[in-house]
Amino acid sequence: MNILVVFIILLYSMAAYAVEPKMYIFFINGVNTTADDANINMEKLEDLMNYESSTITWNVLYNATHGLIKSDVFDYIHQKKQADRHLSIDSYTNYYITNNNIDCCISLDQYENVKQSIRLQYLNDKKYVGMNLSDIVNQFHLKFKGNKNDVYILIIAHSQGNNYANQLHDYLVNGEHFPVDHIAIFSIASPSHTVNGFVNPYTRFKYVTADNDHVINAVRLLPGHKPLPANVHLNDCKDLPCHNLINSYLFDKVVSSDICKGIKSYISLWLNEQPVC
Amino acid sequence: MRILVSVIIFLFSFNANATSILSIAGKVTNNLGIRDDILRYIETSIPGLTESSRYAVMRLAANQQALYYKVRSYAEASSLIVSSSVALKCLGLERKDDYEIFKTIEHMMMDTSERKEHIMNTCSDLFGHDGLPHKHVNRNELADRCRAKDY
Repeated sequence: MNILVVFIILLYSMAAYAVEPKMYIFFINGVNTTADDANINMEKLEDLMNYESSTITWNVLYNATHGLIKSDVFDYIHQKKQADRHLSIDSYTNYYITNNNIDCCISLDQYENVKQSIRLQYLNDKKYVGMNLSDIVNQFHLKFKGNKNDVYILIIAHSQGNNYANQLHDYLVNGEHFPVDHIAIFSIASPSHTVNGFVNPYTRFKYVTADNDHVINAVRLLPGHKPLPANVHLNDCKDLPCHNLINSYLFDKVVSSDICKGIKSYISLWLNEQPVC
Repeated sequence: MRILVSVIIFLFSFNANATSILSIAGKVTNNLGIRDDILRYIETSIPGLTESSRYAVMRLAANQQALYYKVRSYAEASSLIVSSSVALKCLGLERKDDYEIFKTIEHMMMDTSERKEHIMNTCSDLFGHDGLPHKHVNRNELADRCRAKDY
């Protein structure tokens, strides 16, 4: 009898271990967000989905960018400039090779070796990326436990967090060879002009930006900055600029439903599961 | 003599830092670990609080005070973040203005530029590199924990 009980417990444990996450959903917050608030933002998104699944893991990649408005704007503008100059890790590697007079005719393997050897330098070079990318990459490595070829990643980002989302995506794909069609970004109130990453080919829905989001509209006035065109309207905002994730984008019933559908589309596509929005 | 002067300067700066953190932290004369003015706000300015929702709000306020002015390790800080997360969910079971209440308390915690800077630096130092903890609490478990004030 005792052996039977042990056997049953063993089987149960094996079954529990067998269910590993197939999809990671990471949330990246905007500037000047406390740790508590970033966590709450993610949880409100999770609540919005109202869907429990053992194959999905939610986590925050905490964007600790903060400071006086001037430095936050500077960080964003700086990131934006680098994004516009396409300073991906490949561009950085080419720049490194040129500046260090490395033999121009290196093989692909040699190029990859150089790229891997300067990977940390690229992440930490504050002249080229925002202040926190290396921290965000580190957090990703602490949270992501899957096999990059078997697992899907959806990054949901709000506001300036989108710049880090784009950079993280580019780094994972180009620097760590994650499959291109395994990492998507769903963007909320982004100041960026792109949403990098895989896009669901059936819905092609990858961002929400409100036409009455006064923060993004203010960014549009900065020379050389062209956030994505607005595609929703917030009828209900609890914060004055209509930019806050919880108080505006998740508060408005129609827009929050759109966000739910956007996230759901990746769950459906990748996991063949059907949360209801 | 030079060594003595250096030691005195070092000791002075050490004490000055300790003093300045205390002055930033604000007055806490109650035994709940909540800043006095924030406790006053909770007791007088949030109508309709039940016993359980009052507990949740006080937990949020006490956790923030501890997180920014007392905690010494990532483990302690993580425990407070998880507790606050459950507190807000418990508050949300009873009230739709749960997030508003949280943000009001957060704004009060950061009501001066020194406090704001200190709090954001603390968040960055504690969680910037290693990230935030996350413990998923399912709905059944949540109701039990809220009832038992287990957070």
